Amino acid sequence: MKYEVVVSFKPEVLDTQARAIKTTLDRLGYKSLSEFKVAKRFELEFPKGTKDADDLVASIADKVLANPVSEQYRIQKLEE
Amino acid sequence: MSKITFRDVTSIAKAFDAGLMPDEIKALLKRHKITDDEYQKLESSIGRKPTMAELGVFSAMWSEHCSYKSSRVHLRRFPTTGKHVVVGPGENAGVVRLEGDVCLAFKMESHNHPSFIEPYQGAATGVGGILRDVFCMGARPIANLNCLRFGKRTADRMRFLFENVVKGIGDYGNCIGVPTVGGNVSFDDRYNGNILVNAMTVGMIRENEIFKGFASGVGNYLVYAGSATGRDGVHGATMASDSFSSSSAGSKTTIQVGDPFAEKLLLEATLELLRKNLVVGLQDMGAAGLTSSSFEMAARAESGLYVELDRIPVRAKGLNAYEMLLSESQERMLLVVTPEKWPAAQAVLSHWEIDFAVIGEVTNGNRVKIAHKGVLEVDLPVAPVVDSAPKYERPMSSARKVPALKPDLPKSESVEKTLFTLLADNGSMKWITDQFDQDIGIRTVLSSRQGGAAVLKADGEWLGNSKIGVVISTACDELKCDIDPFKGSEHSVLKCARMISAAGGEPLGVTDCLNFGNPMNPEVMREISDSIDGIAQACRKLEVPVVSGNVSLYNETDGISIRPTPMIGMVGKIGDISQRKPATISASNGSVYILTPSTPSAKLNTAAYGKFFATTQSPKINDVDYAQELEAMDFVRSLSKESSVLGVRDVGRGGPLATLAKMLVSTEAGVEISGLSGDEGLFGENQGTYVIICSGDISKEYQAKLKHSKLQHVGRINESKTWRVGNEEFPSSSIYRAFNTSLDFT
Amino acid sequence: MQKITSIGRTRVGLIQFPGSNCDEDCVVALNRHFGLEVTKIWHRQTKLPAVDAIVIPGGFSFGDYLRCGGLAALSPIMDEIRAVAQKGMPIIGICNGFQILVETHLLEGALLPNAHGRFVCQRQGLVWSMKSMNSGANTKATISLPIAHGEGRFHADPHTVEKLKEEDRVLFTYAPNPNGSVGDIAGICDKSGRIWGMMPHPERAMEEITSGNEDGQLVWKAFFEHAMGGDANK
Repeated sequence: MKYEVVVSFKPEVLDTQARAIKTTLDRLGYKSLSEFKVAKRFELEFPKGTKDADDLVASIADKVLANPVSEQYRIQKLEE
Repeated sequence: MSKITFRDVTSIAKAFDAGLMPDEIKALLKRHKITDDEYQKLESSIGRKPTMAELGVFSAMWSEHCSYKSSRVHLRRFPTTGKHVVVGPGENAGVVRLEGDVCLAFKMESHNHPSFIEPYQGAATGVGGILRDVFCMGARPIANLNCLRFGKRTADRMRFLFENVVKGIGDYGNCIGVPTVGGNVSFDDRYNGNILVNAMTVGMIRENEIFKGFASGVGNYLVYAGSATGRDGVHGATMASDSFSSSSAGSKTTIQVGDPFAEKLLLEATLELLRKNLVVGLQDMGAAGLTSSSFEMAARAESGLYVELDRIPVRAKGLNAYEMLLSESQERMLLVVTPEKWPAAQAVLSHWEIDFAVIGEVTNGNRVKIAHKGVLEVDLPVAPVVDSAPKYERPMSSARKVPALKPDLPKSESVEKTLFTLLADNGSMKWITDQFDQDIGIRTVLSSRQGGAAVLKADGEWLGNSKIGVVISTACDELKCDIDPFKGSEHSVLKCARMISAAGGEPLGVTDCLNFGNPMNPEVMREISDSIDGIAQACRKLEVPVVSGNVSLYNETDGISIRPTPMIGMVGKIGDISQRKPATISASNGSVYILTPSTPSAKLNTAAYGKFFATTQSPKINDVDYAQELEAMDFVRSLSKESSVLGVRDVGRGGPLATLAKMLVSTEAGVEISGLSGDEGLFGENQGTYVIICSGDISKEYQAKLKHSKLQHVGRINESKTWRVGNEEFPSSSIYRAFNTSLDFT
Repeated sequence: MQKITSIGRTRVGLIQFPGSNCDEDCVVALNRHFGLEVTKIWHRQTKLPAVDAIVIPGGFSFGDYLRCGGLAALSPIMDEIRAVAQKGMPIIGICNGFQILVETHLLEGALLPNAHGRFVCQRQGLVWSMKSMNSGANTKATISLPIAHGEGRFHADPHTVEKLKEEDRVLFTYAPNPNGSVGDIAGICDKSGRIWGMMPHPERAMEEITSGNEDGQLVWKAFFEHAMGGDANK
């Protein structure tokens, strides 16, 4: 069973890394780019049939992968 | 040249081992820079055809980077002994005595080619590599320095290279917790195709704890410790021995990726293992990874080794023997441990969460045998690999064409405009140094912030309450080296000694990183030989020996070679750190003095000035007057006792007026100079020249002692916003702005 | 919690994580200038020795992987730290130590990458903001301490920032702001006043010869006197 967790800064937090990369992209001529965001992507795999895998992923995302003060996350199941 | 992809290596290996000579092998030999003669020598030294893995071993160990085959015959001419020398060249790092049994271990190394391809990782792993060389001897690193050369700011990719080299150095050094306290940088279009990243580390160690890696004691375990092995850097040593062509910018696969966190753990574990006397041998796996570390340790101990590659922790699938032996995956060490001490050593490695595996043992005889999947891939005598690397006396041209200076401007229009140009080209390094932690370790008294030599305390665990300090400087005047490699190299060594003396210290020892072009070019070979002779001469006269160093050749692209750039690193000692003199002052009032040779001999066309403004003199550097240089160094050193002396700075790039400006950037003081005039007087560069700023007057007693030099009072600094130089007056804001914006890429 | 009247008898515990690199500097600072006994505690220990105060030093614990201080906050020793914090143990986190305390949620907020995206090392002006610190140590309204960090931008939602100010829990503010911290906040403490977190390095400002002043000594004194003498019922 494969899951993807994507962690990014909350919208109200200034993402200086994204801003720096976008500045470089502007300078290189990609001026039609309207939005640019940076996120961290984690891939989690469990053996087939693992009980409560959905809950485990949510717990891992919540307790470890994202800092609730400044970050948000979304979970997607990639494979059963 | 055909590209060998890693997919193919296994099948090529099979073909080669079966007795075929596929085209790919011919290309591989060429890529390894193994000439037909060298290949014949290889076969005759082992009495048979080598296996693919053995070919890899020889190619790495006999590469320019590992064997110094083009430069060794010349490097012999360095003076390497002296009363302060504890360990001379040939070990991981050189060691000089600081005081009592406390010593300084130090070395400089290059990581030029990888940094051009992948600047962040190239620079980071360069820092990592030199740190390991120092702590593998048991020394605790206390300072890092970095010497950088970039192309013209507007050159292709240059901004990207610059920003990422700086970030790579900072991220690695900051994470591992060693302060970056000095270095130098300049921009010049001869480095457009070959940037230079030279990293230096200084460590402290007690004499009886200096450790050298011996693979001795038959039956002792050979232990691999550190990060798992991948394909990084396979061919790294051979790439460093290779010139670039426009097509090589795509070779990202050979880049090593650094992990400073892993290195920090390795550093603490290593120092603990050595402190507790738990290992017999220890060597970091640097250039040519497992190959060089095992062969070198076996050579030192005159023993043999048996290794099973299957036991090595790996992080890539399907690595074959060749790849495992040549991998330059970072942050790995090879240890030799007795069975009795192995449990305790294991406990130390586990505490620091370092992966390890027993991969072999020490054997008798003097052969290295390496097996993989039940097959003996390597069975070689140690001596031919380590000691019999070819040594070349490559042809040198008898005279060298001095490249013509191509200044942009016809002549200097005004003092203000000239000063502006010089400071804009060689000004503030704040954008760089702000990204380096200069204070960690709480030993830093003077750092790169103030532009002179670095000064660090040696108290606490080393010298108790002593006020003795360590002084470190780096320099290379590549403009002078290009005009005259011998004299330019002398001046580079002298510059380091001047910086140390200006701070109040006395030089102890030298390390060097010789960056040159293609040694197959007789003119370049001449540059290398002359440069070595110049360094040797200056070191002999100063009585400061060379105790370690590195050579980086093939710094050329599409036939254009870098300027001869022998980077010098020097360590010294100051008796009382409270007497150190900074190179930038924090006052806005005082008298300005200049110390020069008695006979005026400052020149413009061998100076930074000549890069920008046309001069009529033919570029020729005068012979060094060592009596004057030594006298001037003693003089400025003696000034450190005078509390009225606010700052001392040796006159470097740009001449006296630019040097004065750099001393005043903290306060942006105004200036009134009447004692210096003419372009030569204001901007010329010369030997043994210093700017001294005092709150009072320097007594005539001091001046009376000088025989070869003279001390002149040339003006004053004040709190105004104006510079008055002779008859010219201008607001100071523009020149300080030129200094402050020097690193701006816009 | 007993009120300590003399700094000299304080037993300090210093937590070490893999990658901590300002640990020795803290030991030297406290040994040499205050004569304090410092016990080093490895992150895998689950019980604390008998100590009167805890120091969490700067560095790059766990290489700053995942988030600065994020993995360190999940280390075995932190359960014990949380437990003793509940009972009023004075704790000071410096730089990475501050990052670890916010990740552990013993202090509010988060520490994010500097606004200009680069590591910054400089002498930093600070205003001593905490009004209630009127111990003898607080003899200077402004001080200067070295900073050296890539992720020092303090972030908290507006409500939290307001609360910190109203409750007089902002220890120092930057003057000028080097990293974009909200409210120029350089250091805060918890409601009890016993848990301190700050980005600047007081251990690096103990001697004039290295830092140009001895302001670090004032900060340590203030911590030991105020955090350890503070009202346990606050």
